[in-house]
This record gives sequence, C-alpha cells and structure tokens, in this order.
Amino acid sequence: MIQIIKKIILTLIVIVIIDRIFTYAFMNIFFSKTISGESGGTINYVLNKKSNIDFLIIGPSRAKHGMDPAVLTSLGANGYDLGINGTDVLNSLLVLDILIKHDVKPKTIVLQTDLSDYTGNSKTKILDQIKRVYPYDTELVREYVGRVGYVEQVKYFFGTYRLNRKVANIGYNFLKRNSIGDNTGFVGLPSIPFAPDEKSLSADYVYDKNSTTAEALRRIKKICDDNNIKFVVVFPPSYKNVFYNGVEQKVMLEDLKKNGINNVIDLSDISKLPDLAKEENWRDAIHFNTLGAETFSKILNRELAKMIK
Amino acid sequence: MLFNSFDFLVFFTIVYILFFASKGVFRQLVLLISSCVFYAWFIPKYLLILFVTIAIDYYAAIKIENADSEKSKRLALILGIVNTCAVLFIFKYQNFFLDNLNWITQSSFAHWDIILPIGLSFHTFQSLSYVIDVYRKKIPAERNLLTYSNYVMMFPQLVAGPIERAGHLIPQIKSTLYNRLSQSDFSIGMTIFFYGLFKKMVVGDNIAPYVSAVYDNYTYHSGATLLVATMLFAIQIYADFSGYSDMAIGIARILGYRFNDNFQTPYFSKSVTEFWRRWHISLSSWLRDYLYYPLVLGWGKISKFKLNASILVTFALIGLWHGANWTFVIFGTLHGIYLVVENITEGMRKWFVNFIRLTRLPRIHHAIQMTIVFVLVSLSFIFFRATSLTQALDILKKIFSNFSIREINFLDTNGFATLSFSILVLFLCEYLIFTKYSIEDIYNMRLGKWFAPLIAIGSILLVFSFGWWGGASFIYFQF
Repeated sequence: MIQIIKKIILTLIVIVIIDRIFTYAFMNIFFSKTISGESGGTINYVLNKKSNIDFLIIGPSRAKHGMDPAVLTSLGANGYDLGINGTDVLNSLLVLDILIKHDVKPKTIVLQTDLSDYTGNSKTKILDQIKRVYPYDTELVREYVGRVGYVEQVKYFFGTYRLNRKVANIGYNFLKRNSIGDNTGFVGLPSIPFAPDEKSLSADYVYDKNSTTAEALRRIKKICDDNNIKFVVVFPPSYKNVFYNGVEQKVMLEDLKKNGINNVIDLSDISKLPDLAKEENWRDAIHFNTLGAETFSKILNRELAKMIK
Repeated sequence: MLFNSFDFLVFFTIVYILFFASKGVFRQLVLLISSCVFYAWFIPKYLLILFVTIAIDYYAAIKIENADSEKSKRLALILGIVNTCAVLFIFKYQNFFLDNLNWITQSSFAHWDIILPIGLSFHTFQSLSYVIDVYRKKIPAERNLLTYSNYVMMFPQLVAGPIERAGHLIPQIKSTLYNRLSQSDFSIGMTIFFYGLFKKMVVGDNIAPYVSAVYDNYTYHSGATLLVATMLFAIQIYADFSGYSDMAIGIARILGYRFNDNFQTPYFSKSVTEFWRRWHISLSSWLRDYLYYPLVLGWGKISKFKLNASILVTFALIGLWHGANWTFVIFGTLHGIYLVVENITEGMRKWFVNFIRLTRLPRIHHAIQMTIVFVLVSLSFIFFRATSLTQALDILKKIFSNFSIREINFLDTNGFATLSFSILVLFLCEYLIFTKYSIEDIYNMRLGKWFAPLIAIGSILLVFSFGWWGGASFIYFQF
C-alpha cells in the first residue's frame, strides 16, 4: 500500500510540474500575443491596443453584432465593442475587472444586457460564464470558482484546466496575430434565408434580484463608480418581442433604479421602434443583421446623446 | 454513477481501500455492496430486477447440473433462458413489439411507460451465457450465490460491459479473495483507465456537440456537412464506447481482475469481417458462440447459403440488441450484407488487386482498405444515430444528392479545431502504439514501468486541457 501511495504522490508531482511548465510557457509564448478570438484574444486586443478609449461596449452576442461603435459618436470617436458570444452580465463583470486590473479605464462603459440574464441562478450557468476568463486567473474569478464548489476549485488548481478547450483556438489565433488590423470589434451579421422564429422565449421569465447576475450588475456599477467611469445599461429589442416580457422588465428596471443604476436605455419593446420591426433587419429573432445593427446603433446614439445632455 | 465523475473518484477510493482491507467472504461482500451502490446511483428500484434475474439463473444452473434426465436439464435451461429473455423483452422490446403489432393489426395497444434499466442488455447476456455454458458442461454451476452475484453485478462491467463469460470471470473472483494489492496491476489498470478517460472526454465528448447540432437540424445542413457529422459520429461512438470499456478494464485490473479486450483498434481493419473481430469483441464473440455457430451447425449440412443466411440473422440481431427500433435492425443487417458481399466477392477482389498490382504496394493497399471500411461503417452508423428511418433515409439522400465540399459547415470553429486535434492525437496513438502493443505489453518492456505511467500522465493532462467537462453520459448506457 505504501508503495502505491508513493507512486500516486510521485505521479501527482510530475503532473503538477508538467502542468506548471506547460501553462507558463503557453501563456507567455502564445496567449499573451494573441489578439483575436473568443478565448481571450479580443480582451488582449483591448489590453494591448485600446488602453485609451472613450467608451467600451460589453455584453453578449447581441452587443457584438448589434452595436457599432463607429456609429455611437455621441460617446466619442474612439470606442470598442468587446461583446463576447454566449456570455451574460457575470462574464461582463469579470472582463471589466480584468481591464481595470490592467489599467484600462474607458470614460464610458456601455453594457448590453437582457431580462433573461437575471432569471436563473444555477452553478452550471455561473461555470459557463467564468470558464471563459480562466486564463486570466484573477481574484474575482477565483471567488466565483469558490462559489461553484470544491470540485471546481481542485480542477482550477491546474493551469492546463484553466486553458481547457482553448489551446487550439489560441494556437490558431496566435498564428494569425499579424493579420489583425485596427478594428472596432463590431461584427455585422449577414442575413440567412430563414424567417426569424416568432415563438416567444420570454413567457416564463421572472426577474430574480438575488441572482448571481443581478449581483454582478451591481458590482459593475460599483467598479465604474470607483474608477470614475460612466456606466450605461442598454436593453435592445427582439423580433416581434419574442424576448420581451413587459411586466418583468418593469420590475427589473425598478430594481436597477433602487440600486443607483440610472443610466438605462430601455429599447426592449420593439413596438416602440417601428424602423426595426421589419423582418429585413433581423438575422434571427434576437440578432440584428448588418442593416438592423446600423439602424439600431443610430437609434441608440440618439438616446445616448439625449442622456448625456 | 459515471466513471468520468468526481463522485466515482471518491466512491472508488473507498472501495479500493475496503476491498484490500478485507479478505475472503468479506471481500466478496465489499464488492457486491459497492456494485449495488454503483447501480443504485442511477435508479435504485431496478436493483430488484437484477436480484430476481440472478436468483432464477442461479437456481436454473444448479438445476441443470443436478438434473438426472435430459428433459429436466432442458426444462431448467428453458427456465433460465425464458427468465432472462422475458426481462429483456418486457423492459426493452415490449413497446417496439406493440408499435409493430399496432401497425400490422391497425389496433391501438397502449405503450408501457417505463425507463429501460441501465445496462440491461449487458447483464442479461452475461446471465444467458452462464446458463448455456452450464448446460453445455463448459463450466460447473456456481454454488456460491455471492460469487455468482458478483459475476453478474461486478460494477466495472455492470452497465456497459465488456460482456464477460462465467468461465473467465468466476475463477478470478474465487482466486482473488486473498490477493494482496499488486503494484503492477495498479499501474497497468490506472494507465488503461486514464487512456479510456482521454478517449471519452477528449475525443468522444468534443465530437458529440457537433454531431448533435447537425443531426438534430439535419434539414438545414448540406450533404457534405452531414457526411462530416456521420464520419465524426463513427469516431465519437468508438471513442465513447471503447473509452468506457478501457475504463472498466482498468478499474477491474486495479482490483486484480482481468477482463478481455473489447476493442482492438478497429478502424485499422482491412475488411468489415476483420472490423467485427476488433469492434465490441465481447458482443460479437458472444453472438458468434451462442447464435451464429448454433445456426450454422444446426439443421444439417453446412452450405454457403446457410453460412451467409446465418450471418444476416446474427447481424440483424446484433442490430436489434442495440435498440428497439428498426433503424438498429437495419444498422445490423447492413453489416451482415457487408460481410456476405465480402464473402461472395473475396476471389474477385483478390484477382483485381493482383491485376492492378496493388499487392506490390502493401501500405497503400492497406490504406485503401481501411478507408473503404471506415466509409462503409460510417454510412451504417447513419441508421444507428438517426432517430427514425425517415431521418436516416433523408440524410443518406442528402449525402448522395447534395454534396459539395464548399458547403461544409464547421459550426463552431473553435470546437472543430479542438475535436480535430483530439482525433489526430487518438489515431496517432492508436497507429504508432496500440496497433502493435497493449498497455500491459508496454509495462512489461524495458523501461516500460516508466513509460506506461507517462501514458497516464499524458492522458490526464490532455483531459485537463482539451476534455469536455460537462459530465456527458455514455452512449452505450442506453442499451
């Protein structure tokens, strides 16, 4: 038995040593030089090339593909869209924390979010969001890892796990690092030959003010206040209001107000935006195509200008 | 409880300590109780089905051995077979039978709302072979109920095989009652286990989302994308199932039991016949011994027609064993047809290969054969993966009528890069190492004691950096 225990310990030591060497080398040689891709590349792009910007857009795919910084002139000339597909406000918090830790402090943060972000509180959802920024290994990330549970903490100990399923993507983006030109981060989506789904997604949405995401939103507000950053929250619309729940939206907005989040641009009700209601603006029920994104960005720009006044 | 979960890590650590801390009958008890806990982790009440089957087959085997006439011996055999088959029929095939009965007679017998007990097809086959082997006097009836229960229920192979024969496993259960732990068993077992974990979590689970996304929305995808997804599914199911088998074999080995190999790098086969000698070996050899041979050897003289007809019947049943759906029957029958065609065209193919002088280029010849086998097997898996015959036929139609390489949709390029890399690593390992040596061979080589653990360490690190940690279940659990 003692021999076997010795063997297990020896194996673990070898694993940890290889893990540390590999992670250190990979992070320094490849990851830190990667400036594109969703495994941290776009965040690195902002850290390396956009440290002095007027405004930064954060949020999920609806931000990435729906808000064009070049159109949002009321916030300044120099903006960047750091939307990341499949994320929610928790991920936005962690991204913002990384930026602040690296002294990237835009004058304004525009957060795109939706009621759907605040309707659940599962550990799986938290895990899905925090895993995306594991390579940065910040204190805040560790805090959320702790909330997920001890099993995740054990796994998180290993650097190779922090790079889980990102290695190939980072490697690919490392190879194309020299071909990445100056950009605004915004990516317009082409239309697809299918009509957007009209099935309501929001019928059972209930705003949960105690959710991890609602807490994350309050934390974003606090970070912005502490760093003198103007914080704006934007709720975009959806095709035929499939993503809209008027009653719960109202509850959520009241809660935001209670928490001092006053710069809110609520454009979630498509019936108030006839220019955007037509099918030709939509790629699918929740994403604009390029045409819709430009129209929406113009509307948003007007609203932002009003807010600044 | 899944092998690829932390629950299992904790469970197995406890079992391992208790197993080697106990001896004799207590060790048997530890094994049985841990198997019950392992099984009950899924649906506890189904333990009852296992207990009933075990009790009846245990009794039937003793009856067979004690019978003083051929008639009573046969009666006991029938009792054992009917008992096992009835359980299988009721829980697995009843609704399928009713569907077909309803369709034929235009009646409307209601479905029985029931969940298939996990691993039912595996442990019923294990019980069947035991009763038949006792009848054939290949093995004596096991008089110790605890030993027999452990044979059927031993947790590493309880839910998805390998289907172990009583003649191989029961003597091991008896001879390891007083064994001390062995360092070599531990090292070899761990290495096999982690290599299996790599196959499952890095290869199988990374492919799964792509295949699901394409198959679940097959009407939106081009023939080329469907073909890519189909080929990937062929790799997924291999990685998933052989990964499970490796983990089961590894766990058993750590405890001192030696299971037979279930897969031997099947995608390097030169023919579909060879493929079935290397794919799910415990099932194909089971059906060979208990179905194919009796079909060929029964009812008079052996003829080519009888051989081929027996192959078709055996493979149709292999298909049906997988699931109660016509798609599975077609999957199996298709393989039967492949084998029959191979038999019929053997001479012609040899002549053709000589004619074009391909025999002078054996490596290229082998590569061509492997490619053909892989394509044929992949196409058959369309019926395995599709949820209905209509879906399978639509996919086939699209592949053959709407094919353009330009239209391949990789969906998530990041995920596709990861799965491509993992497949490359798997096939390189298989080609360079495992087509020639087993992990045990490697361990017994000079410096093998160092090299074998490196395979385990490499697998662990690959699981950390490339593995899918979503806790995905195993495909074969549904059978």
